[in-house]
Amino acid sequence: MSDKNISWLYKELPELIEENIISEETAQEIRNYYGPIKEKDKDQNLLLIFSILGAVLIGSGIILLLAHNWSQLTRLSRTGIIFSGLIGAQTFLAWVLINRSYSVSWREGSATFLTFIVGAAIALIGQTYHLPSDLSNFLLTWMLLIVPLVYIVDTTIPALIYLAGISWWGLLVQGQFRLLFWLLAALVVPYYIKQIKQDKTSRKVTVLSWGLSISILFGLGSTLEVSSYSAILWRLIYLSYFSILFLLGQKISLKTRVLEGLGLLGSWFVIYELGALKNSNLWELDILNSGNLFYYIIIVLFLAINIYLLRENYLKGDRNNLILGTAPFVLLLTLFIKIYTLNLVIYNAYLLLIALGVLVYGLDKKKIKLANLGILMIAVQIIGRFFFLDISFIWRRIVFVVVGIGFLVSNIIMSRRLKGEENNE
Amino acid sequence: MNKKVTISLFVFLAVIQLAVPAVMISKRELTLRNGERFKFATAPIDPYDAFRGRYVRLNFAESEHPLPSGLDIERGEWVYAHLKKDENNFAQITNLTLTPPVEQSYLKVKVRYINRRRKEVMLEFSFDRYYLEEEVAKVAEKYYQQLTRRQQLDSYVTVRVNDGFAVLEELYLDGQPILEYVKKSI
Repeated sequence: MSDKNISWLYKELPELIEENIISEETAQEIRNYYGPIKEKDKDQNLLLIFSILGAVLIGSGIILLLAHNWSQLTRLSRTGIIFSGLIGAQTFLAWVLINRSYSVSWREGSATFLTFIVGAAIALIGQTYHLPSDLSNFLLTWMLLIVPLVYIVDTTIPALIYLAGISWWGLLVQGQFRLLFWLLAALVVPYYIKQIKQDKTSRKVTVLSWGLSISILFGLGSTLEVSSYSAILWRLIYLSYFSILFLLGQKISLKTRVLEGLGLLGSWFVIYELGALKNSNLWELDILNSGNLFYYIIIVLFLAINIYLLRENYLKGDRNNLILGTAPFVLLLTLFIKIYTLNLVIYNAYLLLIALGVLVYGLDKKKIKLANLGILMIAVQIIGRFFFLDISFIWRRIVFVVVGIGFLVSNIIMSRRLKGEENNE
Repeated sequence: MNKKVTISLFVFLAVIQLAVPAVMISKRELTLRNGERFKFATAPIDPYDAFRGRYVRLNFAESEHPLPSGLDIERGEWVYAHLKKDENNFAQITNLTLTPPVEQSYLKVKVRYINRRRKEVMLEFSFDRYYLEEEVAKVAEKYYQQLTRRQQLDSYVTVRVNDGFAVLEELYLDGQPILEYVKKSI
């Protein structure tokens, strides 16, 4: 049945119950059978945006208002504000769960609101009792108190707030506690997988893909201690992470190319940076002795996932991703070559190969934006490298002009050809 | 998910969301009611740094303590600071140990850093801010600066301490609670 019909049916249900045609239980069974309505109508999209925006504005407004810290408020009245706020927001959400559980807008809005109220309550306690400037504990308490909402109410915005919160927390905490980030991030992974299984093309999956992959990026940043000693291993981890994102995106092929995009740009950036390394000593490090155990665990794990995904995609006949998917192994290879200039040549050649791959793929699939991205990558590489080399200003400017002209001309040719092909079809 | 299961799970979550603030509040209320009262002199710090935004940053003279010989500690670790009152009820730290003392009030404090050459420990108290209403903070800053300039600083906080747990009670400027001081001075 189409969503419109289901929504009509749901509107009819209260009347049918009133007229004693069906019982409350039957109505509930009907709702369970058809599940929540996918709100794809434009009006409902707007409703969703407004309900989330409203919840965020009211919630953060309350936090800011309380931050004014009226001295007239006694400790007792502050306690009153804390609990009435919490109970109010909870009651509202309970009402939504009972009466409007089929509506995404109501659920997202009310759960987001409760998320902010919980944060406001903890902040107000801190202000009342002059708690120390301990932001990390505040964030952790807040996030742990709201993460169950993701599962119970089935909501995305609190999941995103949670991911942002734990990423921030990861940057603040010190020492071994940082590793706890991975446990915290794992708490939302089952929800993500469930959403992918339900509907790969949903907006939820897109948004969560962004949130989760960026949050893991922050997690890697905060858990891997960076020193010049481990600089290359650190890059190897990032490169394999981006490569995994790219391959994973190809494998599960979501509607929007979020994972591939992030994976492509991330990998390109790491390789670009590797091809411009000025510190030749980095390559002389003994890689088996330059990180801690945690580094090696992650590297082995990531490379294993990488190989698995490469094999899967290869068996599926999907060979477009081979160039980018093998990036961490190219880095691994150069770690054993250990010759500074040779490695620079390898990286720059490889970078060019990736850009050409993007360009050819874009032309092949008639995606002008992708083809343009390929050209842009080549242009940035050429300009960047001329700055890296010590050449005179006049030559640099000439390079700029030449690259600019090349960019324009290739664009014109490309768009004409694509249009021509379209007309021929 | 079945609606009944959803609702009961949510009720369970709601109870936890209420219980956590309740525990946070009651622990502090009990300490404020039953804890032993200590005064901590706040050291005159850079006046421009004294009132940032809506809170007063507190620096304490007692946060520096000689490193007891034989105490094996690193920065970031927790130690127990033994407390004693002087004749004016100001707190003095008499010793630092890794286990709490039996018959003496104490504070659980964090080691901020250790100066091994000078044999000194810098301690981090669990109270380093006093939150104020925005307008009050502005006025307070001005008077705080005047006091410091005239070298007549008699400022301290009162803290309630119970089983190593401390809650900040009040900030005094010139021997008066800060709000009264600010009101009188306006």
